[in-house]
Amino acid sequence: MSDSFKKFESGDNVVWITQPKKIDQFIKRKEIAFKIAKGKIEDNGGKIQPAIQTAEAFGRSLFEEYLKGETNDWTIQKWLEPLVKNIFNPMGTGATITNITDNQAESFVFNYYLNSEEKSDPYLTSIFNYGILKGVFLSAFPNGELLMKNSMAYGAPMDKFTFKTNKIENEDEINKKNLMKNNYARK
Amino acid sequence: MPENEFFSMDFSESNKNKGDFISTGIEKLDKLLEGGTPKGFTVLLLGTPGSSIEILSKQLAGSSKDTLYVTTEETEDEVKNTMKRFKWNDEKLDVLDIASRYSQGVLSGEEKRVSIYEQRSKIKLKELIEIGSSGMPPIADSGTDFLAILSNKIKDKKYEKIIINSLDFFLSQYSQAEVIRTLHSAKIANFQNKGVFFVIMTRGIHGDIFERKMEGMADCVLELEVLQKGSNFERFLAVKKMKNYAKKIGIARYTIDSDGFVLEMIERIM
Repeated sequence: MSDSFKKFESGDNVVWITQPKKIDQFIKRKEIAFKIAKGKIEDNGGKIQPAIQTAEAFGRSLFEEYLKGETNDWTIQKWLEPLVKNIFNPMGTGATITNITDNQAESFVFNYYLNSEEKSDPYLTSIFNYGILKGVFLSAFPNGELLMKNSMAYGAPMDKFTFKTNKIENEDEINKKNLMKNNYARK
Repeated sequence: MPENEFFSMDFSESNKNKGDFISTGIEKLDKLLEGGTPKGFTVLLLGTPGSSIEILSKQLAGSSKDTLYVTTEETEDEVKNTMKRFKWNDEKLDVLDIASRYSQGVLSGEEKRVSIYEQRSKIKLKELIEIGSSGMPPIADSGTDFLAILSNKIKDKKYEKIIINSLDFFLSQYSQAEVIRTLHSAKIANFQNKGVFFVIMTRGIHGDIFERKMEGMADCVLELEVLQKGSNFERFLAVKKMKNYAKKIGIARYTIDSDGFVLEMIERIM
């Protein structure tokens, strides 16, 4: 892995950490996209889908500009390097990345630089981050899956993501069970 | 040119060729465009949240003899209810309801919509996201190719107007190259059918290069802008490009009342 990361080892565990910088142009661009996503929720009577789609589209546009030309033969490692160097670090996104294989990785992601709107709406900030990552990830791995299994969204959003280059059917079933468990109609 | 003078002008030159144009359904916008939108044109409508571009899209649909309306954020019922509220004709409307199809995929058949603001007090974000991640399968697994559905539907029949509201959805699911290819194909079909093809897109999220590509591909570019002045918002509709009609470039302030878009002051730039 390149200089874009810092490496920490503890026994058998290896953690890679991004080196966020504050590059105004990137942060401004993300702010605009966030405002649009928030506006989409307001325009659509509180529906969250258009906001996630806005973030996904933004993520796909970032992929087109900063990752697309890197390779045609993506692996998780090949994807993570330019992601961190060209997107995460300039956008001030902090991330720890662990358990990296060719097909999978886990990451905690958090933002160092939040504007007042993002600070005031950490829930939406988390969902927005999810959408961006989903767009950037699925652009490289159309059969992949992004899971967001945990979140702390009070004050400073920090979300745990699992990247999988191939969706596993069993997990799909588990997710469907979760879906049934969270049946809104019963709430 | 004073507004009154402009609106009282006789557009006899354009009236001579009235059959070459299709009305937008907004009288003053037709006047700004000196007769309407030329047949066969692809029109890119750019907007931001708060510009009420979703109202404009329905008003454009309501004035047509035969419209295909592709909706990606609202359901067919929501589209038609809004049109009824404004008393716009929805009888000749053929709605391709991508929003509902996608939503069914998202919630695996459950019809319940997820609203973050409604649900915030009732569920944890973790649960919301688990639904999101399980319910939004990637294209390969979802079994639904929305771009193919769009492409087939457009080629299926001759429409006077085709309205995609909005392209943002397709750009969240497919690569920009795939979306552009489909749009080119739709543009050719529309040109042959002598209809008008409206594509609605949000400015500011897809990157400058892509936005310029889209502006280059479109025959006409209309942009809705919202400017904050103190505690007030002023809205403008700008005609930024009109292929082969340089005189039509202009800008108009607009408001929205119970009849829909009302263009107020028009200024010609060229």
